[in-house]
Amino acid sequence: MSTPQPAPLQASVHNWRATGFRRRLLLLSAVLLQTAAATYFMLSVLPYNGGTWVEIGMASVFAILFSWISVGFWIGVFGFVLRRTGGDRQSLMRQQNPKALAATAMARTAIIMPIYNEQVEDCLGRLKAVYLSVQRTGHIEFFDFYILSDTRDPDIWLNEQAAWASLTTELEAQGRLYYRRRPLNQNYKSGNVGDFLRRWGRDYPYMVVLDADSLMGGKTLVQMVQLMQRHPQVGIVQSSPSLLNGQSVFARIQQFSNQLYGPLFTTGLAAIQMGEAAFWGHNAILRTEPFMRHCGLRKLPSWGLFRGPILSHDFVEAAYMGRAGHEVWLEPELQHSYEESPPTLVEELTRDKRWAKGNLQHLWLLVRGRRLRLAHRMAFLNGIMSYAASPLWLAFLVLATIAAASMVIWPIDYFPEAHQLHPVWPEWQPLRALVLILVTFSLLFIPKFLAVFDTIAAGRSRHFGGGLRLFLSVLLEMIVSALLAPIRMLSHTRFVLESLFNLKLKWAGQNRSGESRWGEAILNQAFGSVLALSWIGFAYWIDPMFFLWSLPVAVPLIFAAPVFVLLSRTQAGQRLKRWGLLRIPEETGGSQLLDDLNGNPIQHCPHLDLSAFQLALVDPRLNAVHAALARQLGGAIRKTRLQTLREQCLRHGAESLSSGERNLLASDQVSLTWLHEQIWLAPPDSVWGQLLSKL
Amino acid sequence: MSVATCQSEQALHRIISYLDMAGIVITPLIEKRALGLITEALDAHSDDLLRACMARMPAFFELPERPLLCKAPPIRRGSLGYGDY
Repeated sequence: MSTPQPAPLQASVHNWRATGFRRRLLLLSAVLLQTAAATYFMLSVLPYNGGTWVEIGMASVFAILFSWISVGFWIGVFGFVLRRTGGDRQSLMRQQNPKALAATAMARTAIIMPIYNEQVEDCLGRLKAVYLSVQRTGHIEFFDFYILSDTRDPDIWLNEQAAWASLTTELEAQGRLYYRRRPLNQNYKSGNVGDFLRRWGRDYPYMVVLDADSLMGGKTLVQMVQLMQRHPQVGIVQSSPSLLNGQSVFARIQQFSNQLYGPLFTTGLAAIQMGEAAFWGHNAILRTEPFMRHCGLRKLPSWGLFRGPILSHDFVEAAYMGRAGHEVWLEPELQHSYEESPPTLVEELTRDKRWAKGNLQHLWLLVRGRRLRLAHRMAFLNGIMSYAASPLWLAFLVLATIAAASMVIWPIDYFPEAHQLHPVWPEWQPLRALVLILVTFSLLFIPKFLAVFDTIAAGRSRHFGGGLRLFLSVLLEMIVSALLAPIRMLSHTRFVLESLFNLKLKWAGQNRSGESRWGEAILNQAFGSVLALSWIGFAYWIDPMFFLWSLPVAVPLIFAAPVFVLLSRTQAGQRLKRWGLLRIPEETGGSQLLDDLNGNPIQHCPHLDLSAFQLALVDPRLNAVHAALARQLGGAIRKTRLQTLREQCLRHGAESLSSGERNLLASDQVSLTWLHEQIWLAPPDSVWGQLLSKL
Repeated sequence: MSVATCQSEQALHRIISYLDMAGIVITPLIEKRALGLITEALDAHSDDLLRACMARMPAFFELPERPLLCKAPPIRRGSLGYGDY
């Protein structure tokens, strides 16, 4: 084990704080000025110029939403300026002398991958690619790999265990690649990580957290350890994962936009946050000791949504690290950090449902969290607004509809204010409204154009398929984004309302490969489609002009089902890839990680005819592995129950047992060994005898 | 077809399946050895031919053993600090 080589840069600590303050002040000023001007303009568009409660509501909601968009716009602009002027000199990476960094001694690091009901072959395939990449750096001896399973389904976790055993043998990673399954799931992913830390955290100065869909290059991981070694005040370094390996149209669009526009926004965001960045929960390195000391997450003590375990733990952990005096850096210049996009919009929304609840929980910490740094409170606010923006947008549309309807249905109020001498002649200002919409859209689209310009200016357009294909891909991405925005808005609104009323959300694994089916899509989107049809029908009745204004929001909702299905198609995604559209640099220039992932899968593959539980009982080698890893369950009552279950399993087969019963048997060494022996002695006409005869 | 023939056929299938799953490549030599095992079991006049055959497996075949894997390193217990909200 190496001794850390601290090279504290105390002088630069003060510098970044002063720079950070100036940058944030600049951002705040720009956003406030822009929002104030736009809101003033908005009031001039309205018939009563803000003279009614409905219009005051519209202007207020508009101001919040506009400021939210404006923050994104200015972060994009900051990112663009920094990238075109050679990068942020204050970033952690730019403070390094590359030679000194490369010569920095390594330290033991645990790479952990918490998983829960995942596609085992896929996530272990990614871990294998990471392992091989680290091995190629020549520093594998500093890294241990942990698969931390929270899976409850015995057929999945037995398959995980079998795949881990196979991969360990394949990589000759005995004593370097470990598997741990918690007997009790508590506090979701953060509980799983906490369980690891309580057992083995003290063995490792650093811990890299990977998601089940994470992929990281070995050089990057080594660099991250060396960065931590050189900056003892840094608690977390968060890389900026790019999306890759998307197959469906949806995933390919997501990864294209992420890879094209992402660097601009992450550069800008990192420049604003500096040493008070957020932790995104994966593809990051953490200093274990302070993390263990300061980042235990207490359950929220309040009511409803704000009671119970913290669901989105990462932002909170970053805030606690910041509170303890440690820096958290987002470092966009760390290369080869990847994750995968959900394959379909359905899967993205399923994930968003959990994230919405997790982010809204932060509202309590935003207000009640003690001694948290302002920047981390702002990160909470940012996360909350990611979802709260949707119901606000919907509220704006509702208020706009009421305002438009009031001009037709109710008598016009020529004297909206008390003691008014002269009447007002309320009328909409469609030209001004058009200007306002164009300004709003420009805030959304200008950063994207800047990102494209940055790509072309840096000579990277060929990485995205060349000039023409880049242009066509951007066009396609923008059309799809415009189609998705109202669909996401309606879904997020539902998630926010569900969260606020604290309805039970299912925390399930993500489908990273399936396609959406027509029946399912039509059924799921029927509510939104009917709502949109009713809305435009009403809009047409009150004012044909208002009807036209409503179309950009209503049309995507009406056609949501086809959008869901078509975007989920893998074949169509592959066709676009063959045409050179939506390409990303890793597909154009090649990637060792991607080659390892797709060309060198893990050797383990599930049995075609037997479930993992059946295989654990039948296969002599797997039975030996599972039995060796199982415990000898004790207790007289439990032993009697196990005996009953064993006999039931032998007599009636695995299907006669519930998931919990199979779980119990698969966890017991005696049962596994006994059943294996008895099954191979089973008469040919018995359940197991018939099964064996088909092998 | 006699019952004994059926049983020996079933026993042969069972033995070959087991060996195959255990990772032994089935060659004519292995098949001959399996037949020898069944012959010996039949000669023993056992009531349960399958049981007699499976009991004789270790004597006739060297089954490959999978190296015992270390699922997790020794635990070094630590604790998490729970501060203010």
